[in-house]
Amino acid sequence: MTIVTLAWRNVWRNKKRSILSFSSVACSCIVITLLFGLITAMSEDLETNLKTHVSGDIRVRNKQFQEHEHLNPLPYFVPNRNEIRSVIENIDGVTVVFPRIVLPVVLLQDSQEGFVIEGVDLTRNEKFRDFSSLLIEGNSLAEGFEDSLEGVIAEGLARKLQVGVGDTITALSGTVYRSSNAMTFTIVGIAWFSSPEINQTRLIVPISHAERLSMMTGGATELLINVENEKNIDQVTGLVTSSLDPMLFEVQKWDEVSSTSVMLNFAAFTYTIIAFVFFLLGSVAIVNTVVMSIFERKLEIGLLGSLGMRTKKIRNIFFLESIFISVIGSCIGLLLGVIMIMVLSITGLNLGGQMQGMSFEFGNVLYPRPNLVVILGLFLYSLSVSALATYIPTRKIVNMQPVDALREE
Amino acid sequence: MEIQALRGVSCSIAEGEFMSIVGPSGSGKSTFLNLIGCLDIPDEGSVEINGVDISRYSKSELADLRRDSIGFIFQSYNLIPVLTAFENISFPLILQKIESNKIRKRTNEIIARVGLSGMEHRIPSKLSGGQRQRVAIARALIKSPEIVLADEPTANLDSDTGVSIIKLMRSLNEELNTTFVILTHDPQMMEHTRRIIHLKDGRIESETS
Amino acid sequence: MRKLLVLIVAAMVGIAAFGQDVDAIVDAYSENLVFETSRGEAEMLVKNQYGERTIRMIIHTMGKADVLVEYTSRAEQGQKILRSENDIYLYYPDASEIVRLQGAALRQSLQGSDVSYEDLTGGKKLQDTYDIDYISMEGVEGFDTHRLMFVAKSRDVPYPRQELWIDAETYVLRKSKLYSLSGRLIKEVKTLETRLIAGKTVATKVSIVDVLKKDTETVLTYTSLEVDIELDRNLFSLEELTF
Repeated sequence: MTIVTLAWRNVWRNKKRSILSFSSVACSCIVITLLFGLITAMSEDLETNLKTHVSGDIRVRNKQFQEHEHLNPLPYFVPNRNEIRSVIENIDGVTVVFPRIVLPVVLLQDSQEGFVIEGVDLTRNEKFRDFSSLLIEGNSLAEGFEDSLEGVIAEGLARKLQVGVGDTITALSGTVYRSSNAMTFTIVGIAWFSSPEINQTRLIVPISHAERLSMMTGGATELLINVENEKNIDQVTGLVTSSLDPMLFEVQKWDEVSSTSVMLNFAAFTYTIIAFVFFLLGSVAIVNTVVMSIFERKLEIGLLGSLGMRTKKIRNIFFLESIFISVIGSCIGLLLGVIMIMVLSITGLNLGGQMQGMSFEFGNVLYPRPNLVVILGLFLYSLSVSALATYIPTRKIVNMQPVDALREE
Repeated sequence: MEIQALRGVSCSIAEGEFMSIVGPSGSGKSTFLNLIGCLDIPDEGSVEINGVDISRYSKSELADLRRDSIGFIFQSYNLIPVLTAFENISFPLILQKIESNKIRKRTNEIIARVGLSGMEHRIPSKLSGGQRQRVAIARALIKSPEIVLADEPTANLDSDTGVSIIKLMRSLNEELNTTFVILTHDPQMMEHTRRIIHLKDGRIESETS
Repeated sequence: MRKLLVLIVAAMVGIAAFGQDVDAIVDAYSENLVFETSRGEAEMLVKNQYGERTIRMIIHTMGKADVLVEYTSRAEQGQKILRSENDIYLYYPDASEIVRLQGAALRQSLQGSDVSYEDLTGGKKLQDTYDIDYISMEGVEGFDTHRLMFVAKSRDVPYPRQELWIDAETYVLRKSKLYSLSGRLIKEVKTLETRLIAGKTVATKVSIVDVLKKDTETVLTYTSLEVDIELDRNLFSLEELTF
């Protein structure tokens, strides 16, 4: 029989009050678990989308492109894309190098309708993002230059422009000479992209067509690189950087490319603060329980003192009781939270309504997944906050004189 | 406003005494007991146990003294409600960090001695008043204290039970030579004690033996 | 008495000079602008924040209303502009459709220059479209010019207010300033070179500056010009455009 056993039994003395305390902690744990599950899902989605559609693992661009980005600086492109591509493909750890020409364009007949033409290297497009699996209608692009200029349109853009397979779409684009040029494409297929921004704007065409439209002969606006092993990404980035002229080229890792990434990190930080507040609120019930217990059991405290127990040990009994409640509540809450996340990982959480109009690089439907590290972290976090909250009221026990406690009699 | 609970009280208690302290409420009985029990320190004067002035002890040293040498019996038993009779009784030995085999042996012995055999696994709420008081007595005695302080031990018991408690305490006193200082109103209790101190208004009014 | 007569005569001459029929000046100016047909090779030097670029083209005209521009420089290869019956059409070789420019689209610039598609419109009789006032006689680059103020009668013109300095002798445009309705200066045009062709003085090198853009200038130069030649009317048709 130890103070641990004593504390444990004391937890069950006032069942109703203890259950209320568990529930309070459990509720806040459920909420926070879901919140973190959501943000984990967003981060993962973002990462996938960025890597698949925006930047790959590593992106190479003309150094001056970044500086003048807002001006749509087509003249600042990566020249000799095939040569550069070979150089990079030979680097250890690189699996695919995917050159692209990305052109912001408008409809020839309606300059208010803007979209994006993405000229892709066809074989690598397949390897890079498993393109044919994205098709929902029609066919993918055929290799080689065709007289009939073909393109695969993103589902959201097709809907917006009210076009389908077999229709034509004429785009007006700038060129590297700052002149303009137009080209008509026949839609051969429709693809669905999980990133809403991509899905609303893209027309995918063979790179040779985009090259002709923009007059970017032999060049590319960017080269996207996939690495074999995530863990080596920094190393590979270094190798790529050193193999290219730093005056001409800019090499970026995927997480340096998007502002959404920064935003999500900030959001995670904010959520950590929110979690603290929630755990604190959840602890209110425990704190209340502890304070009431100390008040109600003053006599008992006096007794233990009269039996010769040190006040610190007496305090520890109450402290342990609150720890038990916190552990039980956190376990229940986290377990329920995890179960909810697992359900959502199958059904998906549709943010459609909330995210309309915002171009984040993650989808409108999220599939949260439980992350064990996060769960463990939340468990310890919840426990710490409770412990902190209950420590303060138990301190007064230390200062109690048994004689005063007994006087309650 | 300063109230003096005890004024000019001078008293010495010898080893093995079985004595009672009587007096109306407010007479300072509880304070007297608390002083002897090292639960309180006098504002003036001194309390000596075995020749040592307790005001020289720190809080933790006083706690240790209580743990090892002083036993308490309360009017309302003051048992830990979540512990069985056995656990309540053995509690002081656990505080002394005695080996569990010894604890078990000692506890069983004293349970038999106070007549609680068969009841030891019940929690206090399942015991009668008299049984609870026996538990309290056993708990007070298990560590073989030098002195046992009892505050109105029979106040909540019917007269028959009260008598058996008194007889138990008396026989333990004779067996173990443990000093008993008992606060009481109970005339039967008073009858059994060899020395009675009458307190009134914080002073010793009289003493009888 | 004599003095008074001289003054009166002088005044009358002055009035007559003034009464220099604005109509007549405008008519002469308009007449000087137009040939029955023409074919010219031209270069447009575009200077802006990105540097300098030369665009080459072949320009065919017929009368006042029909113009066909074919780009010959590499960056614009194959593209064409047709003005016919006061509509402007653009042709891009890789596009299966022709764009008809209307409304705000006309204000877009040609290939980033200071010339807008709007500048290619017009053709109606100036006196019908504008109220014209004679301001004064002024010298521009050593040439005597009539300075005239044009204020549009209706809203559907590119430049509601214009000031033109028309050469008093040859009726070629020496300078002009183009304003918005509120009087804000939008463009400045200067004739840098002229040539006598078929009895008319033609501006062969013109500088256009879009004042609203920072540090820009476009210089349009005719490197060769043939006038009143045989031209097939069909050249200015939509069918021909897509050919």
